[in-house]
Amino acid sequence: MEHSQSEPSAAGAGAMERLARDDSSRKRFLKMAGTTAAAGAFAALLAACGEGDEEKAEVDDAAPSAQAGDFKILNYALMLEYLESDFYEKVVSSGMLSGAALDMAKTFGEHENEHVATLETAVKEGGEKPVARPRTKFPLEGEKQILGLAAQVENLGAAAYLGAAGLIQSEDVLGTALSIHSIEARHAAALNIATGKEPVPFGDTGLAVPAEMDAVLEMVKPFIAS
Amino acid sequence: MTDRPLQPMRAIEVHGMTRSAFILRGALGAGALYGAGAAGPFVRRAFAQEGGDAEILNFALMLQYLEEEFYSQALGLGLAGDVKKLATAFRGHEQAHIETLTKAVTGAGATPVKKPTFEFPIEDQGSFVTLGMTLEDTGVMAFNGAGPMLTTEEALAGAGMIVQVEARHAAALRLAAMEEPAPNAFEETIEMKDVLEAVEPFIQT
Repeated sequence: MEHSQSEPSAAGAGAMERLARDDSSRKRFLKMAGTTAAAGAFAALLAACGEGDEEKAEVDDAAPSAQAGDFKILNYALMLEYLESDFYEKVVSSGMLSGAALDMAKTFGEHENEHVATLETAVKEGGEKPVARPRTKFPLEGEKQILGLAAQVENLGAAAYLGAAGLIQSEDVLGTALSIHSIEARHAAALNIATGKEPVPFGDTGLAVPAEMDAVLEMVKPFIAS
Repeated sequence: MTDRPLQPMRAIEVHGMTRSAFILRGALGAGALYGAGAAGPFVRRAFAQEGGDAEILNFALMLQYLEEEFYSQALGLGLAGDVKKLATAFRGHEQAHIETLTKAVTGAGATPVKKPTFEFPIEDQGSFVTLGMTLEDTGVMAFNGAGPMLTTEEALAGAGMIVQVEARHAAALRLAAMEEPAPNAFEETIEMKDVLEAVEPFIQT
């Protein structure tokens, strides 16, 4: 397995590290993002996602086990799952959904909770610390808007897993990420259909579009409360 | 085609065993009914290939040929409405996947597998949707099973872009069949050998 052995943190993650280290560009980035409270939480998130990245992954190992870069990706995935899990919890308790939409939100929320549990375990088993669970905020205004937001969140989640998969060194970690990736894709397709959109929104290319870590973290920032 | 019973594939959702085990048993049962052996000539040929990424990519290519032909046959059944729209769009995606994978196999220095002749036991919209969701679910589990064995980042990235689309196909067809779009929190996997045995009944040559 040689998923870019020499570049475990790749372009997206590299940008995040620069951002976390470079105080002035981080402030600019966060100012762009919104309130200082959210900025503080986001800085903590950045630090957690970048934790343990000491380039141990450069060791050329014929059968790679999970390495520093992998734990960074696991924590990044965990952070996204925390967001999704919270989202569905708030949606279900909002009382704004009923019938099939409510059933779907409950089922998908249960899946996200299982993803959280599995990823927390995976991080801990590697002797690393799970990222702190962020406090979240989501604008919930009614069924139609909620389903639209859910579709947005799930499509982003699927794109995020796809973008991260190629950076993973360990076969086990990759297997776990893939087994979650296609479930997020199923969620996204179902929600696209529920909101009158194409289940496969990639034109006629037939190929899903990945999203890199820095772009994803920026897009989820509005959902992080403090 | 009409004398081919759908029962073994249809039974997939009914019993308590795992989906993958059930899919395999169902498809293998169908194979037995059709008189196909558990490891027919196509499987043996497919495994005479050179191994490594090329073998996995060729395996993926064969599955995409199968799915593309499945949608082509389905579109000859007089599908209507949303289901017809799905089948038309999905066939287009499978064609794009075939192109992508053909290039990838060639790029890996191997010869792309030839398109087999397929025949599917579908006769109407209902049997199309039922078998379609099974094939797409199987495809997703097959890609997820083989993905971690790919050794180059390019091959893995390409497989990822394809499997996400397959998962979306599976979810849409499951909804059309009034089933849960995502029946589990984690996708199960199936090994290549088992997938090839499972689809062997649909391969004529």
